[in-house]
Amino acid sequence: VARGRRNPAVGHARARVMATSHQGYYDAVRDALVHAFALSSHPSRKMDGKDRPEIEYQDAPATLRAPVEIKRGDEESCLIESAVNSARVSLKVRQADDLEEILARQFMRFLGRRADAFEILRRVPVDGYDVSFLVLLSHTESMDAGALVDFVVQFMRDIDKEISEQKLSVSSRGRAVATAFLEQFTK
Amino acid sequence: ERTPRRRAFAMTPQANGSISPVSTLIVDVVGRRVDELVRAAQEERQRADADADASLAPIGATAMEFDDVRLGVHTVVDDTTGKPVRDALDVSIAGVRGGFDGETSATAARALAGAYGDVRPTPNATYDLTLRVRVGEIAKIEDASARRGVIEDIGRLRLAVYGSKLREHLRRLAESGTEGPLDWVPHRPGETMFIKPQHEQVTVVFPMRFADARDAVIANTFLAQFVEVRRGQSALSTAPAVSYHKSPPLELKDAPAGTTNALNANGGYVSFVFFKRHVVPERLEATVWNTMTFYAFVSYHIKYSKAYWHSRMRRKVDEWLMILKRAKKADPNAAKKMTTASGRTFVRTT
Repeated sequence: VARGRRNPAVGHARARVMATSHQGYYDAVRDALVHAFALSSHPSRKMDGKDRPEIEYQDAPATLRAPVEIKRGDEESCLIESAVNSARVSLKVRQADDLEEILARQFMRFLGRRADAFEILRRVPVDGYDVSFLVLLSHTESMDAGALVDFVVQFMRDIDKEISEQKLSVSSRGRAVATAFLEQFTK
Repeated sequence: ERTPRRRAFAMTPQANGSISPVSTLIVDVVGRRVDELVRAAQEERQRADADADASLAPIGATAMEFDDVRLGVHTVVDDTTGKPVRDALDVSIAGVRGGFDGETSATAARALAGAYGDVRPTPNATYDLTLRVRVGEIAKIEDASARRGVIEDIGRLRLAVYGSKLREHLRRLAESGTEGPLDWVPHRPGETMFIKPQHEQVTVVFPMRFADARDAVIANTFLAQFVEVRRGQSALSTAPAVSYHKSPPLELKDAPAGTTNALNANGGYVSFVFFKRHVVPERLEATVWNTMTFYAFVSYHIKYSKAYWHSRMRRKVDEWLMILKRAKKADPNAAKKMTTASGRTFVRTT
């Protein structure tokens, strides 16, 4: 996985898409990802004819396509930046309160440490987002692009589910334990 | 010769996280010595030439318990002869600075031991209190379960000694129920339990302070449930009243300067209000113990929550990695496993 570089301001205007429902959000992301993951080789003059991840270097506008941001409400969004031979998908997950915030942050740190195992995970998220994927041509050559799209969408669903289930677990544990604790004084 | 044993004790909570007031170290070590004495007494009765001074192996068992309490059980050495005494054992206890209440704690320990122990005028080195237990007397109790009962009572030394201040306030509630000035029991740095005797009730306030701000966030959700549950369940209407606030409650307005670091609680303030029904003689000890172990109780459950979250994260990551593995295309250069029409398998290398 190429180490992510801080991207300088890009000249492209972002296409914004507002989704209106849960399913609309994931469907919109899926469509955009299918386009974004259709990668082809673009040998770079700056790197001896080898493919370099243009999306990370951001200095060859001919190789870049317009970024797409898909939002759900004010909190969640998905930024898809694509180039000819590489693509970046960044996610901002819902963090409705303090607890969701610490759970999300812990989860992202946990993932960042395992970026190597994931291959397509960027070790550090893009500025303003919680987690980023970096998909290179070598990835779409060794892995099925459709399966990668499925994976990213599955990932988005699962993160939301895990965080809300953990939040529920804390309050249901609190309820069970508080009941047992207070009961001790009544027996 | 047996070398002194050192055992580290984590909390051993029961299913719902409640902690037993009986110390395992005390029960095990004292119990074992009593058993040895009982056996020796039986053997001596059988042997004609019994050597009554046969000494037993020396004991130097120590343990750390939750919330920085130390326990020790040691052989007693006779001052004049310098030889170990077999009929007595020293049980010593040490806790956080300020938690030991001097004479009140000693009185409680005396009451606990009854005829089977004395509080030493000065405790053994590094301890707050030493109880010299007459194991010889305990060994003379005929009934095994009665013997066990005495040993388990002595196992409640921590409850007696470090619960003494709280116990006094709750006893006064049972007897008179008059208002009094704010009192406090240092528990650990940043964890000071405040006690406010009021008219016909006693309010106990726990400022919740966490070194890790993330724990405070979890505590927030967790502790809010105490209020919810008390309010919502009619079966708990006889339980102590509970409230939970972000800022110090009114009861703490008279808290002196030295305790004010306890007033920057990032986890909020939990208050319990006890009434006479909670401190009647048959309930008093349980109320004291459950109250004094509240901090340990909460930190256990927060730790458990965090461990659970970590195991969930690990499990999810493993699932995702498996999905990604399935996304991999077959390597065109690798040896291909193939099957013939008749079912035989072979490997074709390209």
